[in-house]
Amino acid sequence: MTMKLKERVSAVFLFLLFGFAFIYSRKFPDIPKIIPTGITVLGCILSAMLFVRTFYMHYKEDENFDAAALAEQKAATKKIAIAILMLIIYVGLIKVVGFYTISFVFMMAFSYVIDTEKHKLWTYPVVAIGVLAVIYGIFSMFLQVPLPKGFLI
Amino acid sequence: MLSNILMGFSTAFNPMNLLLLMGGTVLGILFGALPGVSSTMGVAVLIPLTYGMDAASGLIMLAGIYCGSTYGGSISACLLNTPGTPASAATTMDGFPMTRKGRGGEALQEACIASFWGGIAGALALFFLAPPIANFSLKFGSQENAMMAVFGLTIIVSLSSGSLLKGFISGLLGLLVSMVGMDVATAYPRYIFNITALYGGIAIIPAIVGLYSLTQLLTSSGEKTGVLTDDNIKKLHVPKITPKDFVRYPLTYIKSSIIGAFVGIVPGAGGNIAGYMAYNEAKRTSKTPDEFGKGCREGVAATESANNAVCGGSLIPMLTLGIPGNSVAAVLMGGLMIQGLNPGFSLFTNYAHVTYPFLAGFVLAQFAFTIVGLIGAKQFAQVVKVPKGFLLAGIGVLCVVGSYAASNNITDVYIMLIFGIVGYFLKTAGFDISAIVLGLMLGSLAEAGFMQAFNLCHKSIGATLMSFVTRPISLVLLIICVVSCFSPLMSAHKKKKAQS
Repeated sequence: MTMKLKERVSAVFLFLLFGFAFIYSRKFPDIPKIIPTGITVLGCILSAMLFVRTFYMHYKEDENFDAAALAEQKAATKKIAIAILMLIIYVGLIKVVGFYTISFVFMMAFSYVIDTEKHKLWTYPVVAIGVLAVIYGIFSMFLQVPLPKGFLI
Repeated sequence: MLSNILMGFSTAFNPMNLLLLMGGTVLGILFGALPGVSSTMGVAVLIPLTYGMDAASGLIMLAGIYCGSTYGGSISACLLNTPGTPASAATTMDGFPMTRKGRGGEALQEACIASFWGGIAGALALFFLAPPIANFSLKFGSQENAMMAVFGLTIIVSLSSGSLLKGFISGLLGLLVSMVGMDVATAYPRYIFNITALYGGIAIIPAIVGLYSLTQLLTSSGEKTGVLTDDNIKKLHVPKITPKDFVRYPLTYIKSSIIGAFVGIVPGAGGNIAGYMAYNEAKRTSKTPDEFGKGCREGVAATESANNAVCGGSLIPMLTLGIPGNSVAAVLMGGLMIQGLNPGFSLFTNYAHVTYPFLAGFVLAQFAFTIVGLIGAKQFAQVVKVPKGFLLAGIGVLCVVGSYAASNNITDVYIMLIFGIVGYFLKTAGFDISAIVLGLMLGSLAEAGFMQAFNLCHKSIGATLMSFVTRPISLVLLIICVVSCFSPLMSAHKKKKAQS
């Protein structure tokens, strides 16, 4: 995706966000809505300006955006999409499964998928256990900070 | 004040606090040495370690993390030509050429010594400038408080080097997020969507962890693993240190430290700017300017003294006026708030028992990273070899722990995740994350000031606006805001004109 397109998409997203916040703020009483109104109106105006700007602005970043760059970007996007998905699943399951168990699974899976050079298989659980042992020692034993529990630990 | 300073040092010298300081420093150096893991991310991820501690001990540890990570950035800058933190960018200019000449150990040694002198200068500035500024802030009323927050927001102009328009939008987004929760004047709940956890507003720490740490994690996930040659680390020879090494470039240390401390005080200007400014100054006045850029030890001395002096300087506006000097100071401000402390004069009076140990810890942190750095430079250099997958997975888990442990609330973890993902997409589109954080942190402060002024002026908008220009301090602050907004624009315009 070129910078021009990224900017255009983000301008639309932000316009909708500020627009929604503006409409939502209409139901606030007079005093609490003064500042949100100012912010959202200004946000809508600036987002619209950003959108319009994408039609006439020259983007230096896009000058060297060729097929090779596109292929590289696609590979990176795929990895980031996987990373986001893994993070969403991880965070979503913390309360259900329990922090330590799901973190162990997340650490192994995430490091395996994200690392470009593969390591011996036994290193993934060992590193995950090591990191979680340190977290357990510091947070649960030393600082006594409770971490979420599910049907497992 | 002297009694407070002595009390601060006696608390900081407590064995447990010294241990925490040392631990924080070591962790800070490790985080700083990792390319792509900035000081901001290091401090944000490690703040949760301080939750269970008393305020003074927690802040002493944070001082160690901050100073350690700023110094740690020089390790990868010297060895790999990749600054561990943005503040060390200028160090690559001479640090890496030194390494290529087989003088990498010498470069690390100089970076450590220069960082020490810079850090001490920053700490002195913090000790002696912060209390009078905090005292002056007592003259502030609601108008002045609002104008201070607005002044903090004008930093967005200097931060938005890429696009001012995007900088303003980022700032507005931060301000909008700061509106979530109960309104300061009437306690009316805004944008909470029936979620009870949002009544108190968006918690700052999860938002910061998401915006800085998770965003960086996602960015690094998509990057190809950097081809980091470890030949430089294998061949690294650290020479024996002599007392003469500590005072090799006294004038450079002094000049660069002064530059760094002042740049630190100016909100928005960071360690990277100070590094380049000090480098230019050292080169200009050097007897051997031609050596600069080719592996000159004095070049490393200049940049490292300056970027470490920034640490102390950046804390001055944060502690006294509630304006974070840079992104790390913004995160530290979150750490202060978690401990129930608010910036301002009360920090130096009512909470002197917390603030002065923190300041003393800041001084001791300079000694801590110097000792640790000089002894373990070669060992710390190994950290750059940690595989990316393991590192990022560990950071992901720490992000979750950090946001959850702040208030034992799973909603904070969801907030962190949302901010991280949205922050990542905005960052890739060239939006400035720091501007969002500034808006978020200063939004409620600005609103509280405006609403107080509005109430004092009998709820008349015209009279409220007039009160901002009829009060002398408020008027001066307003002028400073205008200058702060327009001077970067003017200089950019002049530069453009000169180029064309």
